[in-house]
Amino acid sequence: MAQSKQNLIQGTLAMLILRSLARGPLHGYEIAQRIQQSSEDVLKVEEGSLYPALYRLEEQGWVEAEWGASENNRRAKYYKLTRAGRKQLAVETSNWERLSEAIAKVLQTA
Amino acid sequence: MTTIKSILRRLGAPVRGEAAVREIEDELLFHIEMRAHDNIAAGMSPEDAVADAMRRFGDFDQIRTVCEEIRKERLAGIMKMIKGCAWVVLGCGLMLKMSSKIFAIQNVGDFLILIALLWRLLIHLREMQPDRRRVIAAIRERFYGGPLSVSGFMEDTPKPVPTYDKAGRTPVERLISDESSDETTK
Repeated sequence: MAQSKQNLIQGTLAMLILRSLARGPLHGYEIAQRIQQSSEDVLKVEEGSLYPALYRLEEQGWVEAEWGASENNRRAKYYKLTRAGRKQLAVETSNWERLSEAIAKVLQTA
Repeated sequence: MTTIKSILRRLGAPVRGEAAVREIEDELLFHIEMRAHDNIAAGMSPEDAVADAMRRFGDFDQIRTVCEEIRKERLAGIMKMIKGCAWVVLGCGLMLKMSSKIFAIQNVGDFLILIALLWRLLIHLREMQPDRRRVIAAIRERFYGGPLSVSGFMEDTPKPVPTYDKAGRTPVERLISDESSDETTK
């Protein structure tokens, strides 16, 4: 049970990261900020857990990373979506929409 | 263009070793630094800002180790592919050498066999090399205290220690002192 809960959270984090990168390349800190701001402070990413998730996404070929200069001229690692990442985002978004619709139906009828 | 760069970076990963490990650390520290800057901008003192940034980030050493493990998994796949390629080149070389009666083609075969053998030798030497990072970590444990000096025996898997700079400061100490000096300059 604990394992499935953890998987759900990890899967959701991956989807949120992919969605944040859909508009363009971001570094890790910006991704965490983007998720928090887009959710109007409801979702707060545990900042450290973001990086293992990003490395996994990179391993799967859904994002690719490149070092660049940040807005304050510091060296930062920027992540961007690959073509495979875009496809994965579409799949995960559709799965999520189906799941949330199903849960909403259950909540309305039960 | 980016795809070519990314492929080259992937193939070059096994030889980057320590540099790639340093990149992980740089990336994690950058995150903490950004959070600390935002905290200072929000009115916190440099010490509080860094402490809060570290708390929000979580266990730095553990996260770095997890990232390194993921990177190693990826490298294992690339190394497997490189080993496979060496066997393919060796096979092609042997085939050219044995099947052709033309001297020039036999020479090409010899050349491919030589390349493949050197390739395999390099892979073998690399695999024999001990994990330098672990050795360095063990030496640091000895100097900075830890399992070796406390209990008198070496643990099988020593806990990774932060990378110290020339002045012997940990990344966090470095960050606090940089923030303090920035504040003094202002």
